[in-house]
Amino acid sequence: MAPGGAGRRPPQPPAVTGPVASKGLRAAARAIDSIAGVVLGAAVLVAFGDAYRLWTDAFLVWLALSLYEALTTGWLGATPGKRLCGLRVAELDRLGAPSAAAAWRRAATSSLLLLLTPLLALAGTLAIAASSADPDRRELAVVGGLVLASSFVPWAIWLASILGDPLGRGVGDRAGTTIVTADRYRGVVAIRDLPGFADAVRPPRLLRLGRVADADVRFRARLRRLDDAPVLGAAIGLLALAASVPLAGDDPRSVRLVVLASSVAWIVLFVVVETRQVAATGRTRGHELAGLVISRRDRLAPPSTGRSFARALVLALMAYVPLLWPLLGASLLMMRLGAAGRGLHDLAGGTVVLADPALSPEAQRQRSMRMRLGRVG
Amino acid sequence: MAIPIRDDRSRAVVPWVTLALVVANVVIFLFVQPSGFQFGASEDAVDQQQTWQLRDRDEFLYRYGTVPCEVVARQALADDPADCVGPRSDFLPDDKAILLSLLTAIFLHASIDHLAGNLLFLWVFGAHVEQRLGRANFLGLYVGGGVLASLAFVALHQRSAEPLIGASGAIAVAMGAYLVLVPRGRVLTVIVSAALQVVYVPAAVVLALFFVTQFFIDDEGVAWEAHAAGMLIGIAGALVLSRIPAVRERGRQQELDADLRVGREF
Repeated sequence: MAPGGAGRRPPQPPAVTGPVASKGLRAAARAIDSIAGVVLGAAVLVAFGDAYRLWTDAFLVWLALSLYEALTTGWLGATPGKRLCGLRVAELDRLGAPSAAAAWRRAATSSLLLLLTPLLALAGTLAIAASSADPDRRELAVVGGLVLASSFVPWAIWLASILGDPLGRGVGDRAGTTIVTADRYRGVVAIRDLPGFADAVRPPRLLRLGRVADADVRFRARLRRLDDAPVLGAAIGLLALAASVPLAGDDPRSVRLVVLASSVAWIVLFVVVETRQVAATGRTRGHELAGLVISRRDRLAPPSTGRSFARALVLALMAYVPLLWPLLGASLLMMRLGAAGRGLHDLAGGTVVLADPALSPEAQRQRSMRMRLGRVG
Repeated sequence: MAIPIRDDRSRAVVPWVTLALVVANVVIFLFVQPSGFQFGASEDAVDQQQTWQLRDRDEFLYRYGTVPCEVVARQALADDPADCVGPRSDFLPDDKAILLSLLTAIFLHASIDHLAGNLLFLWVFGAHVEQRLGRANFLGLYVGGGVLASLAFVALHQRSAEPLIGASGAIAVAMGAYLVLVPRGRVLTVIVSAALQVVYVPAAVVLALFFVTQFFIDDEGVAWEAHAAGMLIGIAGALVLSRIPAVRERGRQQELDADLRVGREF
């Protein structure tokens, strides 16, 4: 992110320095632990592996890796790699080594994600190999290719969750309510001392019209878009049913046609409904529940019908056409990092999504928290 | 197809019984069931090893699975009861505890996808039912309802010699109970087909999709009667159990607690 871009930022709060471990040391520690993990996994496979029980083998390796991390974290306060690099794992609000439950939750979550990527890659490769050996099973190669291509996702989630968090708390740390800190930092890491632990992990982005909505709340609001529309929910159900009924028997081309037709029908439905809602009220039901509003950039008002249509169309294509998912990822990054938080659909619609200025900041904060807790209404 | 991910109710307690059921099913599938279940040993076995695996798998399947005509005749399939029709395996167990197999069958799974799908539904729908009913009530409803659902299937297929395994009947009980206990619950669901999308939909939509799509799966082995019976049993069981004063009081407390957590009281 280049400094000095469009939009003015408020003064930044002082950088978090105290308890947060350096990313370089964590990478070194993870490298050491990975070597230990590979050795341990191989040992488990040699000792207990069964060529006819591949799922059991995978489970045993996961169990061994989790136990390695959990036991060392519970007893030594960190895995051997972290200890060598001068790091320790602290459970929030607790002195000394993490509790057994926290250490286990942390270890089980992260080792599951770390193991899934090689497993998926292996499964995809095996499927491709099986299909090339047997010409009758061509479609297996497509499935295998998809699995292989998406095998990076677990590692990406794991890495992004650590790098994207200002405190370096990845999915493992969140599952275990822990934080990785320098070994010399012996004190209790208290939740109330951590900036933005509960909400607003980044300083607010302010525009002339109001506060820019957080990207994760916008994403969660999207998941709630059908909360006031039982008819639309039923429509999705009907379309999904239509797509799963093999209308013309086993002919794969007609099945593909039905799936394609129902998808196009859904995209048209989505664009029509979204355009009407946004042009009329500047929000969908999800935005309303989250306390957000879609506004023009020059003044606080819903975008025109044409602009709303362009916005809805770009959004629908990005979300529902798998080929365009990289654009969706780019939009999410723009929403998260940009000074005005505008994704590609906002650019198309000339819009910006704000925390509803009609609500008090406290009411808006509560609605965001409800979205993050997954409970509304 | 609909894949549920989570529901939108806050969790006030650790769902130990649901967790234990998940672990039990996984451990049984991975370590107790013969290796033939893990990659679907094909019927046209080629080498000696695969023949052995097929034999182990079939013997296990017929020993611990519910075979409808056995339950009706109270006689093991190996003794060839008169009322049993249909194809059966060459490898049948000699001594079988027929009534016990009603119980064991609901902890067995035919393949890893069968296991994964069932446990996903159990986790999403079971946790909240456990929280509302209490641990013992939930466990009783799950096991008892699962056995009753199998019995309903037996009643509808009295002469079938095909073994029935899987937790789906018991999980349908949990889903039926969820509909009664959390009628306004919404479930974050991945809807595949009709444009892949992730959205909160009412639990009833997920259950309807689950129920209807099972008819269009090519697989012959879906016991939809057991699912239907399970859902009805779950609905009836939850209606009865929620009349217990302690259960009703717990539900009220949890609603208050959930309101407090999201700050509605302020």
